[in-house]
Amino acid sequence: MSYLFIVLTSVFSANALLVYGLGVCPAFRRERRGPWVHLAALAFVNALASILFWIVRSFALAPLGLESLDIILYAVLIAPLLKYLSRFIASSPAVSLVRMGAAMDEAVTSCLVFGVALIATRSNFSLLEALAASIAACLGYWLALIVLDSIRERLELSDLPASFRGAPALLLSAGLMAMAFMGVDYALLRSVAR
Amino acid sequence: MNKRRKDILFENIAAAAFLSVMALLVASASFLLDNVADRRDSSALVKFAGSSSIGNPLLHSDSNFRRLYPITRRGRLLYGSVVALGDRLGQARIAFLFAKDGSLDSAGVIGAIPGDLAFSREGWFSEFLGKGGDFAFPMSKDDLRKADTVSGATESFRLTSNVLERLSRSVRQAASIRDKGED
Amino acid sequence: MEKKSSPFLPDLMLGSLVGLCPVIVVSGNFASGVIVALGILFCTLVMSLLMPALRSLFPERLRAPLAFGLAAAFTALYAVLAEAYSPLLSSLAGIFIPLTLVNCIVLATLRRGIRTEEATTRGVILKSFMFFSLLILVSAFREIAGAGRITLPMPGTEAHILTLFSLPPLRLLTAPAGGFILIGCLAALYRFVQRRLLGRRIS
Repeated sequence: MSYLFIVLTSVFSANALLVYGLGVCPAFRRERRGPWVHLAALAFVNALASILFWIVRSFALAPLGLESLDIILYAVLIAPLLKYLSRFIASSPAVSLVRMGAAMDEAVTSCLVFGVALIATRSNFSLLEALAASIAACLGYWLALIVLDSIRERLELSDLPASFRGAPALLLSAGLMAMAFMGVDYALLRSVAR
Repeated sequence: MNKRRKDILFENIAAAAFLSVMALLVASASFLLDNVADRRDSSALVKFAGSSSIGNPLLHSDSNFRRLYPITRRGRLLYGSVVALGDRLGQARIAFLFAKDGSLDSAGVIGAIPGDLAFSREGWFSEFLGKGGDFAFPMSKDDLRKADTVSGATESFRLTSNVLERLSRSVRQAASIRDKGED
Repeated sequence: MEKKSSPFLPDLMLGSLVGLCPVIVVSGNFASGVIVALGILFCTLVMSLLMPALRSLFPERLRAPLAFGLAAAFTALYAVLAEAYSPLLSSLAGIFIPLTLVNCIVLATLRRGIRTEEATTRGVILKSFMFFSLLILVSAFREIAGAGRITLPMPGTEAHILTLFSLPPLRLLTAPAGGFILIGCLAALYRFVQRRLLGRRIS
């Protein structure tokens, strides 16, 4: 499988937010996101979680036929390790690193990071393919988030019925965006990536 | 070591032991239910192949198939597996039989959700596999109307061909190991 | 986001928009919706019952990692049981069974259980049942209106499907896009009902 195909698929036709519905709760929360620091934190924690999960599952659990323990291993080994790392980064004197550590700390137990790690591990990818898929999934999530944030800004200025103001209108917009993202066919991506 | 440190050590050991017991419980349940799945898969394959001679399974850590069974049908050695195939539209469980050289012998659908899924049509495997792969996306409006081009453009085609490729490779490996053992 | 909550309406999902991740995707099929909803209910109930014991047995510094590990063990146990019950339904629910571990409802139960000494089991059970019921209702509606059929969560390797319409009225509903649109409409309806009947306002 070509890396370009994996990246394009993870960003568009298997978008983490709009197709898999991962990380929906923070996406619909009204908060200011520092673009680069937040993206770097998400990409770093996603990549690290996916790599560690892939290694543990492939080299420790699969040879013993104990793949069913992967959820426990994520909870008792990978998540605490990532929490420790994010708090270590957050304790540095640089402001951007403090913000990055805080964003990483929040992301470790989110369904986006665990979900992407599960997808990357269960798709029969090699280690490098899993790494590419996890970073691309994070980019796809970020792309959807940026578009949703700009839609939110426009919606706040629109004259909508009171019940639809805020999250309901944004959910409807996300539905329309999901239709557009799902329209990007796997086969089209394959012919682009060839 | 002072008492406070001893207490902390004891608490940590107690917590680790507690989690280990839980992990052990899950692992035992998993092994126990794995036997149930083994019996279920082997009986489905015996029924599908029309044979009563089935060997011990070779285990794989592939996310689509876990066990590969040697099956003898009318004196001919085949390899069978129950495969979970699925895409965004649904899931299917399919019994596949392979010849020793890794070529597909037959395929039968055990169950599919929903019923109108591409994988749920047994003819789909024999009619379309191997076609449309090189021209996966329709290049013109005329191409779009051809059944095999449309099939080649779907996610189900990509998934099936990937899984069958891996399964065929596993069969060839298993057959060569068995041949070496017999020599 | 929400200023007041009502125990009579499923406000956790539609008011605060919490725990939506499985709703958007798995509720496109009734059987997978039931399997995932049962997993979340099982994990929440077991953890809310175990948290008082965990609080009394272990010091505060160990409670969070232990609670998370314990929730992971019960999620893994449920995943194994679901696979044994019906491998077809289990593979249809896919990653959403393991994702029970990081579901917002389960994480909220763990956080509340670690922090508070007061008995919160009743509230957790009530909210879990509301989430469970809503997820099942949304799943049933999406599959009937979107595919014209209903997949029953029966055990075994075969699918049990009841076909209701040969031409489904709203095909889009079974896709994730339909999930977003339906939840958006339900959230708007919920806000309308809150405003009109109960005089409450949700921002």
